[in-house]
Amino acid sequence: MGCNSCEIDKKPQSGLGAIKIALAGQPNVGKSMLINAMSGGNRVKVGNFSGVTVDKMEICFEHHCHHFDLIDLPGTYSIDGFTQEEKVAKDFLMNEEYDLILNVVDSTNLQRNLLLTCELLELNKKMVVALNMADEAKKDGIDIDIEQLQKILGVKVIMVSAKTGEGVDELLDTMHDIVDSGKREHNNLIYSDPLEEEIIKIRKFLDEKGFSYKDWSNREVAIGLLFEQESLYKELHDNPIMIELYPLIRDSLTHIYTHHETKNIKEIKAVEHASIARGIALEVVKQHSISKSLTLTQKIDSVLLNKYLGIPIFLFFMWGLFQLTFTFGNYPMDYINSAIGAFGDFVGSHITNDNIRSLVVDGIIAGVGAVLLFLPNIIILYIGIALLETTGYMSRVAFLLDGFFHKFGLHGKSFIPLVTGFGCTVPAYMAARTLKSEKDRLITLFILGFMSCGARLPIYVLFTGAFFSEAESGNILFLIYISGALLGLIMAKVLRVVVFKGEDEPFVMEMPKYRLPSFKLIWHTVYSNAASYLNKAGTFILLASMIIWFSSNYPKQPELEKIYSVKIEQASTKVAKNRLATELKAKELENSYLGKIGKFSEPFFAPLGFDWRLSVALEAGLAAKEVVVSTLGVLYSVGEVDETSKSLKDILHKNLNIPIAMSFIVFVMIYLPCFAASRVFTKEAGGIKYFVYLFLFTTTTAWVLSFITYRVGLLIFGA
Amino acid sequence: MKLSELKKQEEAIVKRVNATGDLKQRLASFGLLKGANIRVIDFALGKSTIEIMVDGTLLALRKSEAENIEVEPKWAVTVAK
Repeated sequence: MGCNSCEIDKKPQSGLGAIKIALAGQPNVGKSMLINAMSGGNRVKVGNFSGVTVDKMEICFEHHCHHFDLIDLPGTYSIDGFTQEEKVAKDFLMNEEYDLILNVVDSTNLQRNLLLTCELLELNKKMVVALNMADEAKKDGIDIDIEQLQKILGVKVIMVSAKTGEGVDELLDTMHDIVDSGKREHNNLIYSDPLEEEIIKIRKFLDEKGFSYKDWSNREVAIGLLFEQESLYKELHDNPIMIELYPLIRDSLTHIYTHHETKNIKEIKAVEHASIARGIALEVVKQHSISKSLTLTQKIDSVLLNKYLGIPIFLFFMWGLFQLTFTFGNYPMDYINSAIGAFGDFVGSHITNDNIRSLVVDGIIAGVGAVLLFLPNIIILYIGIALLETTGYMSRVAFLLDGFFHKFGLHGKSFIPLVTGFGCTVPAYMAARTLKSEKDRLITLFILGFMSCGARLPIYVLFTGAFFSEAESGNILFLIYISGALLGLIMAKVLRVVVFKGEDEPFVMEMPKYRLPSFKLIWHTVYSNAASYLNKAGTFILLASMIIWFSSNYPKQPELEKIYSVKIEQASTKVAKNRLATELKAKELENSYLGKIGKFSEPFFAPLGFDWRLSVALEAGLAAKEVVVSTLGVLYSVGEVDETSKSLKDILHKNLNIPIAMSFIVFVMIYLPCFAASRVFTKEAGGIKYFVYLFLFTTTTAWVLSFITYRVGLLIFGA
Repeated sequence: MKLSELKKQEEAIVKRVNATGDLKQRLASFGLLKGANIRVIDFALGKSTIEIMVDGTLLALRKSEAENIEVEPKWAVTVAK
């Protein structure tokens, strides 16, 4: 599966083969930190699997000359549920080949973590349990009897701390030893008496028949049968023993149903696991003092979740994050901008062929450079979001906002992608994965584009600057952002009522303990996100830039050029020469592919007040919003311009009027964000079908609202 | 008594979870099922969301979910004895 560094010798049983480990654990148990601790600096991230929306990740590293190939499954509270993450985890654990399950457990919350451990044990695979956060448990005065826990679970249990590195070597050695030894320890869990009775009945029958299945004990087979493990039934389906087993199982299940007062086997399993977990916790966990971290968490919560202060505090944090993103992000922006300009000049001076130079400098460097420009903002935003996530504050905000969001048909957790959307829509689409319900996730994905991303800012600045005084512009800018967000909420409600009808997603969420953020983990998250932003956006933008460049430069019109070059030569003054040169450029543009597209689509945009230039700028903006301003600049024949260029502002002011400008802003606010975002949306939503819906949905909304804005504008301001 | 009717800092034992399928499964995976010990920690504005502690885990629930959980307050248990 593409794990190059581990493919040197991939025989699991031999001394040097790669050991394939499936890493499973509940959320907030420090899995990622443990991966970092295990792999040290030698971590090779191999990238994502093909999972539609939720990824498993493969990580390879070496320890004492043994290759480890780690599959990081999504953190889930259970593998029996219906969420996508749970399905991904379960599918992998049931169907894929691997050597060992590593179950990571939070020592400070053993009881609840054991619920998943029980489910994993019933898969009957080799397994090791890592009791993570040993250091925190010590601080909290928690003592765990490892020997006893091992006896009860029947698998190796190792105390580790990803933070201090304690036990990590031992864990790696143990995993290796267990994979090397051929034998697997059998599931030792003791269930409730009524269930045990039935297990023993069926096991006895299997023993008498001399039955054996894989490396399972007959007890394990009996448990699998009673818990209706589908894969087991599928495999035993053709076995003659089933004819005799069916009545036995039916009889046993009837007894179990009566005892548990339900016929839902999943529920019965959950109750059984809960009482096993409670029993184990009582037996092996000694708490010497009141948990400090838990009391601290409750103290912090009493402030941050305060009925009246909670939301203002959150808004303050958000405000701070945006201030940082925009103010700090701007410092390096200037440097990057001039560096890109200098680089373009340098490259340009070394290319002799005019066409190639134009492609490289005006097309590729300018286009990709525009994206690089936003990297600092994106990094700051990611640091902020990583902080929110790792400290545990994110869940609190979902708690605070759920009441408000719920009224609009959104889930409290939707706020995370929505906030991210003000920075860049691409990571925002990905952040929507935190939503468990498919409907909530889709609604959030559909309205995310209404949160104006950073790349739209230049357009807003240009148009508000052209038609309003400086004092007004700021307020109008604020108004644009707010109305976008409000529109998003209203649209969410509309989608909920019209399209995504049905039951609401229940809001049941763990509020993890507050933890100090780990610098290493934040660095890893930010680094890998920034790298993928550069990689992916870079490639898309590169392609888009080349297309825009090509379609605005071709087809060449040699005759037109000839006529103008004669005219230019004949012109007497420099001013006249320049005027003719820009006129030529404009004519060429009008006849280029891009110009033709603009003319072709003009009728569609005419009711909104847009001419072919504005139409083509909007279409170019489908590639990236940065392109809109530069396209307008080219189309209005003033050469290269950026948003502060006075001349473009003046030209716009002369050529357009307030109603058109307002209508244009509204359209930009609502329609598709960019090519990169569209790609990510298609992937996250799960198919091209959804992209078509999104395109129709946003374009229609944008058209209708722009139309209204334009008409109302005409009434108020006149043409 | 319903979980949603408890007051801040009140403790109780879960008697019954009136839910089906997905929700029941979800609640169970957090340990919120019959016999679990719970304590109400806090409410969000307008009681729309409730924060509770279930056997050492902090959990947030919507009011509509909390209404489906039947509990027996701890003080009731002591009085009955």
